[in-house]
Amino acid sequence: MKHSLSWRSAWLTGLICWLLLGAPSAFCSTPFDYQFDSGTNVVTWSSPDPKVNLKIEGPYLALTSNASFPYIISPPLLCLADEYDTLIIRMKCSKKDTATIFWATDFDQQFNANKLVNFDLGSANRFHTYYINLRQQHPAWTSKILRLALSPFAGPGKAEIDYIQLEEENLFTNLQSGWAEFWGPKGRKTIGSTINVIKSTDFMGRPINVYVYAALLLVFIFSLAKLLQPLFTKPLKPIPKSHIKPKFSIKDWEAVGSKVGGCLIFFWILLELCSTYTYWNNFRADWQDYSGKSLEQKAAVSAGPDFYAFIQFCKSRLPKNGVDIGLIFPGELGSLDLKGRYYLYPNRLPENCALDKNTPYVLVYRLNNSAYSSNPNYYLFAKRSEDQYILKRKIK
Amino acid sequence: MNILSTGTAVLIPWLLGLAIISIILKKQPTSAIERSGLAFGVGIGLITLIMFMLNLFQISLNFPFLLFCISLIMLPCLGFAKFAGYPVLPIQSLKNPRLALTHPTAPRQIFRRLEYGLLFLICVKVFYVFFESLVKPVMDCDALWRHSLIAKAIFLDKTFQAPFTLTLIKDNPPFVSFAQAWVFFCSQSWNECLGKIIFPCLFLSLLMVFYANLRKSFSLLSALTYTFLLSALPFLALHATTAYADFPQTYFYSIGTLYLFIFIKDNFRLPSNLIISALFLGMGIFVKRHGFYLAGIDTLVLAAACLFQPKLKGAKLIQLKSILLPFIAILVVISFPWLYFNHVNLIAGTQNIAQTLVAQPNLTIQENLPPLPARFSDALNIFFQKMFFFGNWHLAWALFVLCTIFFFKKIFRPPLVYLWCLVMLNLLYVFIALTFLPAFRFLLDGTLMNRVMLYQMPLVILCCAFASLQEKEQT
Repeated sequence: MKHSLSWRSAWLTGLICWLLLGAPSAFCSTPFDYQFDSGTNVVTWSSPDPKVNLKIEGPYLALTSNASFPYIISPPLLCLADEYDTLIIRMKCSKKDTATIFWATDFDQQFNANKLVNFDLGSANRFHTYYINLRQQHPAWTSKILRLALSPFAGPGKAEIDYIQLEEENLFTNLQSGWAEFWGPKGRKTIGSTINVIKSTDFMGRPINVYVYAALLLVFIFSLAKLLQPLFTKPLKPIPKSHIKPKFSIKDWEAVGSKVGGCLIFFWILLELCSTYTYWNNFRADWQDYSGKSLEQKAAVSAGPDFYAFIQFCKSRLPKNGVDIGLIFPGELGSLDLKGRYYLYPNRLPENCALDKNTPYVLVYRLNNSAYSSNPNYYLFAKRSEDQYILKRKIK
Repeated sequence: MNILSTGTAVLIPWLLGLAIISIILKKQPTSAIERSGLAFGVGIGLITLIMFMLNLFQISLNFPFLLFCISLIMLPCLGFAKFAGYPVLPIQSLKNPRLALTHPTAPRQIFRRLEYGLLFLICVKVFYVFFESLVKPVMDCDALWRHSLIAKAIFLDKTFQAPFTLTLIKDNPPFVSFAQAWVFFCSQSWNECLGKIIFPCLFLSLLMVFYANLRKSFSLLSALTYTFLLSALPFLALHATTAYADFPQTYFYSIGTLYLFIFIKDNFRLPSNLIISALFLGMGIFVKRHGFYLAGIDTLVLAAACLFQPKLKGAKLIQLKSILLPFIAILVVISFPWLYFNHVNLIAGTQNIAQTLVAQPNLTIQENLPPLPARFSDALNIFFQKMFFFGNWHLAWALFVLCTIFFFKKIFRPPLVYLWCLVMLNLLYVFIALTFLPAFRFLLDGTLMNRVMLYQMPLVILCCAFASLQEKEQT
């Protein structure tokens, strides 16, 4: 009897704990399985951005965005990165784009560019299941994971999420994740402002070259073993002396080399086919962005339509022979000075937009109150809008 | 109109190059592919030199006058070639099975399919490079702030001698800018997309020259395979679509070195190969500062080859004089305008490099760099990673290592040992330049290394081809 009571109390205690702590995942098969087939756990994924609308539509969590970078945030996870490393998402998106996964850890509790993994969405308006082994694909998937964030695409669009699961890796998910990673965005783009580096595509967190070298090593060992085999096996019949070959000649060594080299060239062709996929993507993107457009339109795409319109405005107002100019713009707009310098010539913009007090014309882009607008030595020369104008130095 | 003017901008250098190449090659049997490939490089190199020299003499540039100057060289060359009976463009050679692209006597059908497959892949890459160059405006950093901006300034001002342009040029050779400006002068308008036509043309020309030289020694399939490998270098194809100086430098340097190697391989018999080599290496000096040092490395290797070549007869000193002096003379003549214009910077720069190399502790303090042993180990690690585990070169360096290990008997014997030494010396040059000089920071941030390494990549593939293939296997 005493024994039965303690069993019952333990059971009741467990139930209360489960209700208190495990309620959010009551409808999930694992603690990190979000099925979205009832209204229960929709509140657990949220978006802080008011331009992102989240609601349940049938069995899916529907995300509709008007934001430039829409994302949704998971409920608190508090899982160990080593145990739960594979994210599985079944989702349909209205456009072909690159999705991003961010995460916060107990060491770094912010979502930031130091901890993200990108993956390609594939064709639009079709459900896809994405397998992402985050531990393999990023070294920062460590320690304790506090939350996840998912950004399905950039800009406006719609995504319908069937489920999101965080699981422990297995061979199947690893292969799926590796395959998606191989064809994914990493290694498809050059890195660096001055075209410096093309990363290798990865498979299961390692550059594909690693696997190629491993395969070449196997080919080498196999070819060598095959070549050396007759040296270690006794012939059934005695071979006449005239037929005995020298034990191991340079030609044999070169033959092994030819086999390994042949395999290397084969792998090279395969890698090139993978690169061809990148070229095809570039071709399609550039065809869409630039083909059939006039030089002006292409320049507008490259420099940004608004900035290029500003440049055109300035060129139409500044003296035709070219003058020394300065350009001021907010730092977060990046290296506009490069394009400004290029397109504004014959007007001469010095390196790094270095202004001095004698600069005759100062172009102000997207700044309401620059130091020059209140400078008594300058006056408003031409104005395109409130934050885009040309100042001219007063002649004493 | 645009197509016509762009066609003119490509056709004129090609014709000029053909005329000069026909004088150099005389009646030497060469394929139309090889001559065409060489012609464009020689032509555009010479035109940019003419433009530069005219500006040096304070003559403003315009298309009619440029055409007149070009005609002054081209027409006498063509006339002399005609008079002496030298072939200008041997179309007939395309029908020669030994030199032609198609190979009807291939023994098995599968070989023919493979050949066409490889040719198709090369054509796809060439098309891609042309498309990417021509469809997009100038977008990349160095092109925007230097090369293409200078090109625009030269076109609008008709000279590079304006103060703003001179500030931009500093001590950087202006080949890329003059080449783009040439297209603008031809079309009489500034079209930044069409200005980049030069770079894919150089890419095509490099592939043609590379293929033609491999085809002289190897079967069609082998030549096409290694040409395909060259075209498949992602970093090379990428740079051929931009308006950077790194690809033209690769073009001039690798073709110059290729002909130097062929000259050594043929036992110093054909002076035309030496002349072509010196021409291209000289033009390389006009493309980038590195061209000066790279030409120096080639000269050293040529001197070594002259001294250690057993098949040469006569006194070593006389051989050295008869080969090395004309080589250096052509190099100097071609690069003289630029060297003259830039001699102050060049001398100061070389002195500075020499001083920095010697005074390593000062460099560590002044530039706030790690001490030399730490830099050395960091650099080794970065070089290893970038050469073998990045996507820049696919498996080119692995192939080079394999060839060195498996075909050491062939590689460490003349003439291939000279090519191998050139690759290793270039690698050493890149290593020293990025480890022992302030440029170490560019190694850390990844800015420079791959671009400097690009110059020798065609040579790496060439070395692998000559090491791994049996020469004169024609089927």
